[in-house]
Amino acid sequence: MKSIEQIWDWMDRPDSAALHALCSGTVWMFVGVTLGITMSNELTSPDLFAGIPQLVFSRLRPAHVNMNLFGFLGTTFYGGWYFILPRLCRTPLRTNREANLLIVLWNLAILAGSISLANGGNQGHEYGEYPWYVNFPVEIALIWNASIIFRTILAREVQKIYVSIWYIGGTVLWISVLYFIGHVMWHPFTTYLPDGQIVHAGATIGLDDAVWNWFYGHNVFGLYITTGGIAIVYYLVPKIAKTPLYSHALSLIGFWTIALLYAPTGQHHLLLAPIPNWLKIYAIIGSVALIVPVFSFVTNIFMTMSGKWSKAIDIVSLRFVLTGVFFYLAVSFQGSIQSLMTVNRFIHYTQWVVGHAHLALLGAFGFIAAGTVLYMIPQIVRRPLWSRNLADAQYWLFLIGLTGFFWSLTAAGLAQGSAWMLLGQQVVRAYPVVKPYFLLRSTFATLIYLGVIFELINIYMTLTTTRLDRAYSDRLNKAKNLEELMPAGLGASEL
Amino acid sequence: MNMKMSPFVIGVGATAVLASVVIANVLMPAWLFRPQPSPNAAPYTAEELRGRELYIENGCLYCHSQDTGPQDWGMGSGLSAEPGDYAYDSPHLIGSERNGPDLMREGGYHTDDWHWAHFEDPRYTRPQSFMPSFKFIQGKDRAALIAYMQCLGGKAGRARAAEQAADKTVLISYYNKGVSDNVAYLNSTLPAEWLTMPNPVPATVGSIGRGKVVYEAYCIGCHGENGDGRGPARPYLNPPPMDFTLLQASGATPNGSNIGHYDFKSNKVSVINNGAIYFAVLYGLPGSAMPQFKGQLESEKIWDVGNYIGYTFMGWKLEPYTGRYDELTKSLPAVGKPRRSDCHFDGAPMNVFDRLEPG
Repeated sequence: MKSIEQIWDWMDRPDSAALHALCSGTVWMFVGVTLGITMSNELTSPDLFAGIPQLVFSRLRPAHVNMNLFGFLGTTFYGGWYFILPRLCRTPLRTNREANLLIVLWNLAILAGSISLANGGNQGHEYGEYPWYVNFPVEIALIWNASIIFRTILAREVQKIYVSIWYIGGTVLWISVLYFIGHVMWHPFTTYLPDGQIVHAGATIGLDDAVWNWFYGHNVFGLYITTGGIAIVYYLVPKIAKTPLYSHALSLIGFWTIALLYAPTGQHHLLLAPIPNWLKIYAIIGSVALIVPVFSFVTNIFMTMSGKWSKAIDIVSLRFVLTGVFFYLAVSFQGSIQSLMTVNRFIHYTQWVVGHAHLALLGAFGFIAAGTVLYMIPQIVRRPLWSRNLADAQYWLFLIGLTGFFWSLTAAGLAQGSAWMLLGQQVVRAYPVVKPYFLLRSTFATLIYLGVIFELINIYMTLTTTRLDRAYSDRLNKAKNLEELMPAGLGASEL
Repeated sequence: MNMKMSPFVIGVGATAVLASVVIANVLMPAWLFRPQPSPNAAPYTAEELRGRELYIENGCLYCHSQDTGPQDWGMGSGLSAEPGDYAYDSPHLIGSERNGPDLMREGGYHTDDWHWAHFEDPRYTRPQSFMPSFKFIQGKDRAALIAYMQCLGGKAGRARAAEQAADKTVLISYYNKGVSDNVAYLNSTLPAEWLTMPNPVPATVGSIGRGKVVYEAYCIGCHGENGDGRGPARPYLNPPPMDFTLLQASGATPNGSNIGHYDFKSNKVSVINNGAIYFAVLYGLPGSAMPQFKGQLESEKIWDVGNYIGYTFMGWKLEPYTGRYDELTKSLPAVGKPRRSDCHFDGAPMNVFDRLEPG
């Protein structure tokens, strides 16, 4: 039994919070994708777990979505921020102990939320499902996180604030506000009004509730995952490619426009519902104008890579991040197009949208998260990645799996849209139409799942392997610049 | 462009930008957009609210939307959702996907016992469904969930459900009187001209083959693979599904065989023809678990499934096949050739039978 001081010392080690967050994120990815592949197989064989309430598709779905959103991407990005900030500010995180405790609280909240969702504790807001007893710890963690980030920024030893820090600083503030709004946290209990009206816990009434819900539902991607991931890309790409960022001006445009234009897009989920037209138009304008921050960010990154693209072939983590940026460009452009009324009418309510969501969260930010973990964990533990080949295999499994997954669902969505809109068929007529695509999706999901298992093995072995000889490990511990360590995936003999 | 980014600029600027959008995008609609309840909207009862709670807990909203719009002409409702229709909804359950049908106006389109069987295993009543089984929702909870299903669609939905419930007692009383009285009563609920309607689609091998595909996709869960009404849904349904093997056909084949059901007690022969089957499939039999299929099956498919039922279970005589488009001209009075151009048919089974057909 360790004494409390030993535990504090253990938590105070530099980069320990980053390491713990990155490892937690990897575990959440594994659990979240396990839920996903279970659900995928439930769609093709609906009686797989028939009669077990905790494993029914529709209860696993919110657990899967929230776990991947907050557990996998959220926690991994916290780890990335805790890694980036001390290096860019040239000062320790304020403090690692607090950040470690925060990760514990955060993981417990996600665990509690997932268990409660599997047992039916659902607030009924898509992306805002966690019940109030999970919302409050999460909100505390978000505000605490903002305080850790801003205290570190204020204590910085360098005057200049790099673009990654803008995004991290903005993200932690935005999500603290958004989470409070999205979960209607000022209304934690169900109340009955005298006229027979009910106001459900964590909700308002009628279409107004839909407006609040989707404002949050889209911004939890836009101003949390997107901006949090962009912060890491802005750090990793110039760092691994060893080249300065292409343009400061483009960074500025991207940063200020993303909040202004991303925030109002949520109502494009309600284009078919009878909300006011001015609100729909506001959402469509925001969605289309999003090409401004998207193109300025992507241009900035790709111009930074100009002349250095061969590094993306050599260095697996960089390849992951850059593929994520490609997918980000694709999914954002797709998002702008599908917010148009004519397009939306055809694809809304179909599986196309599910494909789009996976292209964003797994394609764009899942790849960025995987690159983050594969780059940062070897840096923190000062050991090369256990297997470069395994990481390479993971890359191709992710790429082929996700691409096939995306096109299966896109095809299913187009088939559904055609059946409903062009043939005027009721939804039940499209059941046999989508089934083959669901089977195809499960097949490609298996590839993704294999890639996830590879990453889990790779990280576990990197952390626990003791095969390094003493001289080599001494050299690693003394080395000041460890950039050669992981990026090229060099083994012991080459260093 | 050389903007100095300090912690103050980042913190205050980022918050201010978001705050301005929150005001314009969320607070303004909350303040300006307050629709009054529509004439059709009605508050929920305690049992319906319990059902709504179960609907949320079990994540039904992830596969079922509650939003009909002008684009949904395939659903056949013709009514678009109004802002006031949602006036009593908290939280809103508009949803984002249609893995299953939209439920905005579900009330009264199926009977309670249909829902009961459907929650036990959706494939009992809807053989092609991939909805999970909710058999763990039992007793009062399942009744509450069904009460919520029956109140969807506001006052109109509730009225439909009440009509179904009233019809049910009558149907049960006639079912208990025996097959022939039951069929006679059911026939009396249909418009008279449909009982003597000549069968426009002859019971050829092709028609029967196409009907088999439809039967297995839509009917088999209740009526069973042998047409004896002993599908897996039967234990849940009252009155039970029609046993076709007890019926003798007439109408479709005027010179057909006469082996049918003869009820010695009442000295009556039960008779249904394809017109009666067509009408029952089209509109359902209100009060029984037989739902309407008018939005789901095209006209020819309904005639085909009637032919399949008649030939396979009720002893109708097979009619000679003379070609895909000649079917109609041979069995109807000469009214000219049907147009070929507008025929679309997913004809895999039909082609198989084309080849099997002698001469």
